[in-house]
Amino acid sequence: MAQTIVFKLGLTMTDIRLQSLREIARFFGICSCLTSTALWIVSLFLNPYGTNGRTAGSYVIVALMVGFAGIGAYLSWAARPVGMDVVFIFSFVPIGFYTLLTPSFFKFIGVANLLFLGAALLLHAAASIEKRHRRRSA
Amino acid sequence: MLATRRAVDEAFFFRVDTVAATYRTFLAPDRARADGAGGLSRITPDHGWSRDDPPGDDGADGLIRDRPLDGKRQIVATPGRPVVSVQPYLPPVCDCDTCGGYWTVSIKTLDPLLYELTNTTANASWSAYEDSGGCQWSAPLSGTCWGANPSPLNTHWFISSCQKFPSSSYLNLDLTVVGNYYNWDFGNPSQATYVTQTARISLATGIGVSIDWSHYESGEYSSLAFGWFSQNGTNNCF
Repeated sequence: MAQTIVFKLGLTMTDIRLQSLREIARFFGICSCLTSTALWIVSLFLNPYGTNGRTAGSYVIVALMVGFAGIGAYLSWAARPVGMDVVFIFSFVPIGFYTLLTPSFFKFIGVANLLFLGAALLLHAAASIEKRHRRRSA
Repeated sequence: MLATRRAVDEAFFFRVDTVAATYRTFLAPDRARADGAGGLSRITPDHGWSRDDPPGDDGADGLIRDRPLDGKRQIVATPGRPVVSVQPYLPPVCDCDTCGGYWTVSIKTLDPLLYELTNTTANASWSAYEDSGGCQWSAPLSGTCWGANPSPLNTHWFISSCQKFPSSSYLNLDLTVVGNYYNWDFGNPSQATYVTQTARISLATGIGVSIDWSHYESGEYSSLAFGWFSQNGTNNCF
């Protein structure tokens, strides 16, 4: 029955699998960006470890990171893996990596960055599979 | 200002310059002596009384307008003239330099988020002044070391040593502050990161203020941190 519907819509099982893969990647990409945004805001305004050593430059850096997270969320939603790669590099090197090594729950910023990279890789994979499938169909 | 004094054999006039803080003694001419006190109108203008301090223009009262003296010269009368001398009335001589200033040098360790992890600061202020005891020099020197404990990302920086080397003498000072720090809870807890910072301020006669600083980090992921130098201060001694 399902297969009949699929064929009637002109879709193949590969298309459905690719679509699912993209949806999963978009979901994780957006979630990771929202997580890192929330953590960055907490680190600046609701930091349970105190504000010792916070400088004016910290606000600039956090604003940049939140900006990257926003761009990353948009690129995830638009399923643009190349742009997501660029955003990941700017977010993770070195700041996301640095947070990953700290003994605080802010290490989840780094984890979220890696999740974002995972989402980008899934989108790359989906694009690659689709390309191969089309080549085979042709 | 003019003042007169009467003597039995000789009459003298004193001219006091309250601006230059000097007075001059003039031997009055015979006629003035014969008349007693000798009014100002009777004083014969005394041209050429001084070799060292040539007179200026004549005033309306007939006296010579002299240039202000610098307070250090003694003017001898021209030979053949009556004894005339100028004695400076000097306030206490102030040979001390009166000046002051302050300077602060600060070295910070910043992480990639620009959170401050350590701070080594050298503070120096100085002043030269004169009081009843003569020339005085005051130069309080201090240094501080600070480590984020905890930092906003919950890393802990400890001060292993904070050494201060102050020295000061009149119009000279030197202050060096050396701070050593370590951290072990970033990354692998069994490995530490070390930071050594040096801040130096010196003031030397004729040279002025010079500063020096250094920042070294070593150990685990030390390349993620970096040193940041800042300074401010003023000095009007040199």
